[in-house]
Amino acid sequence: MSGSTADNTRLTIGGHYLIDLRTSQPMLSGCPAYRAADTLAPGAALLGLAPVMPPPDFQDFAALRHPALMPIIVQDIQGGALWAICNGPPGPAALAEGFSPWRENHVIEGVVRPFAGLLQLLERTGLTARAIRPDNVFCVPGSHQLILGPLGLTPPALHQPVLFEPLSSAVCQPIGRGAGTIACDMFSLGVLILSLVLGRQPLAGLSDDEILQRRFETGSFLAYTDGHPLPSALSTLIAALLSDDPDLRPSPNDLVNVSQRTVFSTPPDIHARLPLSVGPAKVRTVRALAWHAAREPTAFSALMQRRVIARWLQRELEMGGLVHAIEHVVSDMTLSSAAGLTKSSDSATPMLSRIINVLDPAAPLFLGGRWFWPEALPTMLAYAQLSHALAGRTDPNTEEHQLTSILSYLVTNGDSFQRGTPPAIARQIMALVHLARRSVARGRDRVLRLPFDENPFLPCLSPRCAKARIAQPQALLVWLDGSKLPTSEQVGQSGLLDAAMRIFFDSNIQRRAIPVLSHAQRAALPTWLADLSLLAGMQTRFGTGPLPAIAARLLPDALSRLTVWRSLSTQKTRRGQVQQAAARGDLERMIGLIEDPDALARDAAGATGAIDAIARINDALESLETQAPSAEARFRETGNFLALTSGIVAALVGCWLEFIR
Amino acid sequence: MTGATVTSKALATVKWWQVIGLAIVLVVFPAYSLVSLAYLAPVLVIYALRPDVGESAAMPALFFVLAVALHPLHALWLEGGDWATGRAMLTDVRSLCAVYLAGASAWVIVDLATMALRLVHLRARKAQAARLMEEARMLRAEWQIPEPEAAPAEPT
Repeated sequence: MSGSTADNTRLTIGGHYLIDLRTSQPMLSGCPAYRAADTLAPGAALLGLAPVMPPPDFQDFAALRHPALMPIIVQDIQGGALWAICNGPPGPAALAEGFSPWRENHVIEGVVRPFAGLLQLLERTGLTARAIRPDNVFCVPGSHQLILGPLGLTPPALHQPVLFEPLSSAVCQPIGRGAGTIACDMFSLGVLILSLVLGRQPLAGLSDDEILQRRFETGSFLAYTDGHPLPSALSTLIAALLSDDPDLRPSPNDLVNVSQRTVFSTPPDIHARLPLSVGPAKVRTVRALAWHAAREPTAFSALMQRRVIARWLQRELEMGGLVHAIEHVVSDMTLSSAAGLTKSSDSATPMLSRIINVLDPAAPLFLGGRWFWPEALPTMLAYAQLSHALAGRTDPNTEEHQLTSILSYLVTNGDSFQRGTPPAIARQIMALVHLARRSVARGRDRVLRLPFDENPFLPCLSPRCAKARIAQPQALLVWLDGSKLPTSEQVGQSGLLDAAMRIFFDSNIQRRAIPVLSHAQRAALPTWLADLSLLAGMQTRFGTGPLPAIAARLLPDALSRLTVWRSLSTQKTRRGQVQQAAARGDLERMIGLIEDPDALARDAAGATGAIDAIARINDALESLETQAPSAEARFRETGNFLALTSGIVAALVGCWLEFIR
Repeated sequence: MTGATVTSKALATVKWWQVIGLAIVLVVFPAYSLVSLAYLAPVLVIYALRPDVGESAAMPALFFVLAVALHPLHALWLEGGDWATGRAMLTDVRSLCAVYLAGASAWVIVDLATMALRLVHLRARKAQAARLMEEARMLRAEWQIPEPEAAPAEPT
């Protein structure tokens, strides 16, 4: 952590960049922005960006440099929250209202080639942009050049309009789109080029669902061009880029040296002459059938059982192989569920999911009533928690619950997706399974921790601190100490932390191998004590300095814990020491004083010793009583002896008086 | 066991030669033996009355009697064991009283000493018991051991 906060409204990032938190700017790249300045080079219009949920590979994005990309100049963590500095947009957004159509050579020189180069760079780095959209592409003033806003500041494709997304991710809810592939970026680039050539965005004014309907009906390219041929030499390029089959889209390598004369050929989709009615919808392509199967599962399964779909596929589309593949999936699933091989009790949804993926291998996973790419699941889960927390809602988070069930289903049944599932989905599910297997947590916690295990930049999602975007455990400790803590009674009942904070800490503990009590060990302790041990471990590991507010809040419970000590004086000494440690804000010392097994064992031994000693004393008291008669005889003997001695002395004195004097 | 029975028992152990010896001594040295008998009467009385004390209490009495009776006996010796002197001594109430008081003082000393010892010891024992109980109380307080229902009675 570098830099320091002058006050609450100004932040110093990277040593010499000053962010003024009072000057909120329009969002850039879907990320809240503030005015910033470089104190070493004043004058440049900079923006300070506050990414809420940066992707796991944020560092790679921040390191990207390309002429067609606005770079992240500096990134720094301040108070546990990630901040990024970048230049302000050089000009207006490319597709702003009332822009005039671009000439083809300008499109090729200023957009296609530079963006292809950028996508080439991304592909080599193993990243995807998923951010080519009207509000993130800016004109460079004075030239026909476009530049892409900074990348890696939001979950991938979260802010992409349905129009700019390929069908394989447009069907998903925005957070469920995942990083996708470079082919998805090629589609977005295609839509951008088309819009520039047309001078307007296609299908303007339609709702997302209407746009999807049209695209599934005729294919994206035809839907976007309204079926009219484009009066442009770029027509074949755009048609290829807008292909709904990702494999048919050109790669960045094909575009870096593209010219007006380059011609791309795209085989058309196979359309049926006679449409198939799935519920109210008329379906002409296999891809549309897959989509409508998810929308109308009852109608679809009725058609399946009556073999209408098989007949339609065979007669209208001549896809006998597909029919066999579907039948194979159905018989395979029926057999395995009969043999009890799948762990799920409800095998209907996975079966539908399989059939959809057989019909359209490019489609995402359809499970639990929603479309999503498995790789996006941890982010979806985190996003559901974060939106719930930021909205300040206290009702049960049903979205989180559903996503947890789906994630836990995929993690436990990952192996069953390895056969008959498109390779991309199978690979993503296996990545989740591997991630989950590395986790030491079990049950629901393991699933809830996956977002943090996957993404070290993910902030703590507790409703208490979600606004602060704290992604570092040490910063969360310091924040906690300065925050409004629960009352001592609440601490006694449910601990100092909430579930989201514990999950955040646990994930960080595992990632950084911080030596604290294991989750299972802590489960045996009272909640507040488990929290104290966790926080103490963190405090020691990170050297965060004193945490007096936390210590004070945990003090009453810590003191009550001392009553297990048998020795009152030890209790008293330790009570004083615990109070001193709490005043110093030293959590490690506090827990060392109240949880000291060796001293406690010595204390127990001391108590046993005391019981023995008391028994010995009682014995001694009893023997005092019983020795009374024997003592009586001794007194008499002693008395006699005294009398005898004095008699002898008297006799000797008598002799001396009588004879010697 | 009464003094009489003990006396009779003691008399029963007396052998015949002892009686003959005593008779001879009485005849040969009447003054010495009668005076000595008179002087030793308290010892014999103690011996007879205090069977529980036995001869150990008689021995001190013997020495005390000896200490006081030495002077008159010496005087009798210097008179050559003269019977007239002996008779005068036997009728001298003051010296007899002095001798008997000496014998009785032995008895008193034995009982007083015993009593004093008993008192001293009782106080020491009480102090020790109090110390032990205080120690136990401290231990109970320190280690939070509950008091037993029936506390041990204080020794008297």
